[in-house]
Amino acid sequence: MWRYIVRRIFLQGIPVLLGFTFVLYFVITIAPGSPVTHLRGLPNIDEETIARRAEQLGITEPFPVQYVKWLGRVLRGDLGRSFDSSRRPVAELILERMPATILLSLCSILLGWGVGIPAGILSARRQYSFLDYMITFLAFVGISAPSFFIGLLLLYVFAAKLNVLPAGGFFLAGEPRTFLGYVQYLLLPSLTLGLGNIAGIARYMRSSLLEVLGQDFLRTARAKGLSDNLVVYKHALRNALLPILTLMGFTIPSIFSGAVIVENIFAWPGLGSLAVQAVNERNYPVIMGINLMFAVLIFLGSLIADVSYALADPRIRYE
Amino acid sequence: MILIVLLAEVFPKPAIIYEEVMSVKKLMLFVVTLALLCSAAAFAQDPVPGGTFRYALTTNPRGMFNPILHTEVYDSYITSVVFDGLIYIDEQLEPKPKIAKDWTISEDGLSITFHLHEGIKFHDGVELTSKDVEYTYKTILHPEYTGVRYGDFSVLVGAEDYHNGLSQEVPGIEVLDDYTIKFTTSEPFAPLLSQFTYGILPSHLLAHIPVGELEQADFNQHPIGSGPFKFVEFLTDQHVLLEANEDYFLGRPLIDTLVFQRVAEDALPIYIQQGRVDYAEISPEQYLEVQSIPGVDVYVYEALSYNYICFNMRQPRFADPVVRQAITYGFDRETYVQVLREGFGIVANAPIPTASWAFTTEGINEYPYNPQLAAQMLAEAGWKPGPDGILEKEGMRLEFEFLVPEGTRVNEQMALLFQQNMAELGIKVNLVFMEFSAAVDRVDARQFDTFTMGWSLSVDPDPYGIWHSTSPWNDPGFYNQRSDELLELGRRETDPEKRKEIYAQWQQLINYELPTMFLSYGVTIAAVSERVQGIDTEPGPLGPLVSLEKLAQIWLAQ
Amino acid sequence: MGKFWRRFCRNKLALAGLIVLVWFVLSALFAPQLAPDDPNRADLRQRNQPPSREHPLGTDDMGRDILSRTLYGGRISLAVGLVSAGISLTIGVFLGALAGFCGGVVDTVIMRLADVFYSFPFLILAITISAIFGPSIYNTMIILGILSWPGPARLLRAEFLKFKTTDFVAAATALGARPARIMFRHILPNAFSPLLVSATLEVAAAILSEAGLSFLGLGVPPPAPSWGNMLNRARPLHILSRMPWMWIPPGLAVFGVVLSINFVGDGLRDALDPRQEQSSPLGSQAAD
Repeated sequence: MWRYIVRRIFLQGIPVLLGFTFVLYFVITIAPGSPVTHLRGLPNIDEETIARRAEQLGITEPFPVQYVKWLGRVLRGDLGRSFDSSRRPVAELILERMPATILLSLCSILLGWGVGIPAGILSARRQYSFLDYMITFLAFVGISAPSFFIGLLLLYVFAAKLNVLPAGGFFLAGEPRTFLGYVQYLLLPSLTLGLGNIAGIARYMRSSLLEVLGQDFLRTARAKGLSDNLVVYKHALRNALLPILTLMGFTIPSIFSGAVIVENIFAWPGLGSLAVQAVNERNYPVIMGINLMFAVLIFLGSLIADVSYALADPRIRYE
Repeated sequence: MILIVLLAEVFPKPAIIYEEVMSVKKLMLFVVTLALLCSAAAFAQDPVPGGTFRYALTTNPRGMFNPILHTEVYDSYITSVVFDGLIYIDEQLEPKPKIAKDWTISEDGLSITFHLHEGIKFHDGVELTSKDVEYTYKTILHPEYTGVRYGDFSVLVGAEDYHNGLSQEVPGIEVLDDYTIKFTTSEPFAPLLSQFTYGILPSHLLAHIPVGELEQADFNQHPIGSGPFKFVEFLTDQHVLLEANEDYFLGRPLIDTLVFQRVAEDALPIYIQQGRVDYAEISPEQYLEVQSIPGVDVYVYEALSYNYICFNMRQPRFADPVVRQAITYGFDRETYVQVLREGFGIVANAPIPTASWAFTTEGINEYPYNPQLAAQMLAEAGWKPGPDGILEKEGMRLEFEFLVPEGTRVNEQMALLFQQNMAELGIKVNLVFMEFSAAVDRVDARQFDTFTMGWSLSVDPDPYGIWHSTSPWNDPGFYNQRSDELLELGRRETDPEKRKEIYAQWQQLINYELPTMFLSYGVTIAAVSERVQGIDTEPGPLGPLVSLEKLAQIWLAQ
Repeated sequence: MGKFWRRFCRNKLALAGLIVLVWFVLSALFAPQLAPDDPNRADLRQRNQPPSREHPLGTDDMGRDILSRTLYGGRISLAVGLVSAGISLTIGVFLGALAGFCGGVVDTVIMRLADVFYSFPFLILAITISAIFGPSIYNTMIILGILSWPGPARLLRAEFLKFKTTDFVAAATALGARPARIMFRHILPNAFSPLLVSATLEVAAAILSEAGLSFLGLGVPPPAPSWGNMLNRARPLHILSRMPWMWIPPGLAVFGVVLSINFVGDGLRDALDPRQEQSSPLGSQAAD
């Protein structure tokens, strides 16, 4: 197992990350516009200052030099400093917003599992019933509805018209951070983000469970007189849950990606807005830092998914 | 109480007893009501200390809370309350004393000597002296300075040499004693005084840091100044929290806590309605909704900004002023302002806005929308429709690209309207929407036909920085000797009346030449909760809070 | 063929989805005939009008007819969906077949490449590329197509691997058939059904992504109507709450199209092989 993990990291992970960062850095440096364009609008700004700034930021050097320097710093654990006027360490900028994004992602993943799995089970157990059709239909709705549309709809209904939930944002300064408060601020954004998740898991759970339920070994168990509940919950579920784990590998990238839009709609103080802003301003170190972090997380996510799949299913052995 | 006595006099002695009884009753009622009103008025007049004031921000500040290093407007909000400058600009756009209790200008107009208040303390208790002022300004001129303010003070004697590392001293900055400092320029420079608003930095905390590394100092995220509010915390994308400075030299601010609250632009009306913020700048589209919210006052005031459509005069087809004027006559700017901006704008015809003292209407052509006149002008200049209906002349065609940086809906609508209006004249406009940075790139490389952007202006109206032919921001490619002469004169003229006259002449010139078509002067809408007392209810261009100056004096009614 | 059709029709949801989808496609194709007005004709005196006889779905903030814009927007959304799915399938099938067929180093390199593309945080890359080349319909199609190829590629490669190890191929080779022939005549047709299902889901994902990008201002630029950029204009709360005719049509349209495609895709999957394992229940990468 360990050999597999090590191999995955070195033969797959590292080259992929290298290739990815290289291509990304290239793409952002050839984009028109540069990190110093926004200085233009300032009163009494002169060309010399802008040229100096460009040099200080290191962007006057050719792309390969810039990339190698960046890579060197990263390997020493330094993500560099932001190109905007704050010049703060990129790691700091990312860390101060991470908790918010992680909180949101975690909630939507939990929603996905917490609502999706029971829904899927219910749907499978009462296959072809009205409930099954309802749940299946809603699941389709969930994966088809554009998240921004749903987000706007929820904002409209709950914040604008009914006024029961806040219209985005997070706690006001000085507002006590109660558990209820967290729920209020998190509810709409994580629902919006997690809807697709819930739907996908519900459907997957349903089909996975159905498949398992139809298998011979279960028929044997039933024939042996074991109660239906026992059959389902002990044997079938364990087998049916396995594919869900691999699903995590797919879920995580889409959650992070989708978070950008949701954070935008709800003004959620997470990484999404930092990422978009960084791209607009050509803030190279921040763009690279965030993307690198996401890539690493996605890689780790799929690795963990595969490993836990192997751990859960004794039939699978990785060489 | 005097009123009551007077009223009693005015009230005629009734003849009939019944009416006398009735009128006495009425008088009593009147008196009681009046007494209540008077006491209520008196009540409202006593400032009530305490409370939290929440200012809504729709963009996150960067966290560079250093007055000489920040470049973003939202950072400047925080630095303007944490730090104080030598002077501040009041609602009449006049410089007024702050840290400097007064100043004297030398006879030749080349030196300003500031006399500082004594006993002003930084938030850590250390006294502010002219050494700190010297530190602040010398740092701006330093060769390793990483900020963008050098251009404001490059006229000081010896600044250039110091800036280029050729000298270790700046003769133009002279500390005369602990509370006196003198600045000298090599030639008269009218805008100089208005530029001394920068917050003064505590040299005892920063002098030991090499200037080149100042921007990385932790101080920038935890600033210590001498201003009316002390910095407490900054949570990214959430808020900046500040508290009143008990030892502020002008007296403790009346409010206890100041919060700059991050709010999504789309959610602003809801936040205002729920009373979660006390002050917000809103867009014209939000005006109607916010105006009808009870308990909220809306103030509309003219701002120091304008937007424009720039012609690339380097292209032969735009070299003829008649073409530029005709296009201006042919664009319905009134509809743009009245309909697209919902009336929140003022059609502009020169680059100095109404809010500025240098604004003039003398000799200014208003270019009212007149498509027939436009067509006539173009025809008389020799432009004839080609086979596809587009105007042509001597191999030149009036089909061009219009670069529109993205961002606002209004810009998009304006572009569409422009395209439509031009089509009626036989001019084909191809709209190109681009991201702002990419658009700036094209403009800097002079690869554009026309584009639209805006300028935010400083308090002093000197247009030299943007309009002089040597300026890197000379996007239209406007080379006019007379214009340059007038701009150079205007900068050096210290007599305000004469200066105004020079700028009037200059505006007339620009208004005729139209290197850019001026669209609208900015109009800002501020929504303020009624509980906020002490603001400027007839706001000038700096708004009801006079660029946040008033924050130190406002109070919150309960 | 008939068996397949019958199986498909048994799934009521899939059938309904097909009908709705056909309806959308037809209305997009015949938009010029169906639209009451020019979608780009701005009449500033008729801004923000609620639905009326003249404008059945009302007007937007520039006075343009919403029904017409929704119809034409459908053309753009469907075009983007089809073209980008086409691009990603073409690249994906080619590379996937290459990887599956050649195996070894080629396989590893291509799969690593797929991983690289897969780890790209989709939206951020889309924003970056959009900034370079400027937002436009064509760039949107290309970006979406290029970023989604790993999905079909992996699928095809898996098919190849499945067959490579069977006796079937060994037998065919023993009989003297050339490798390319085996590939085209035997493997690809078998891969057809999962590929078809994957393709339909790709189209749905692409339509959603385009709407998402345009919503952020990075996809189809104004004034051309796209469902995504129409939704973008409705973001301010006063439009959201007071002028629902501006966002409900495009929102429901995206929703409806994607929903029906998903139903159809699901039905296809069931009809083509009821015992088929699902390769990816959420379809390909979507900016959801």
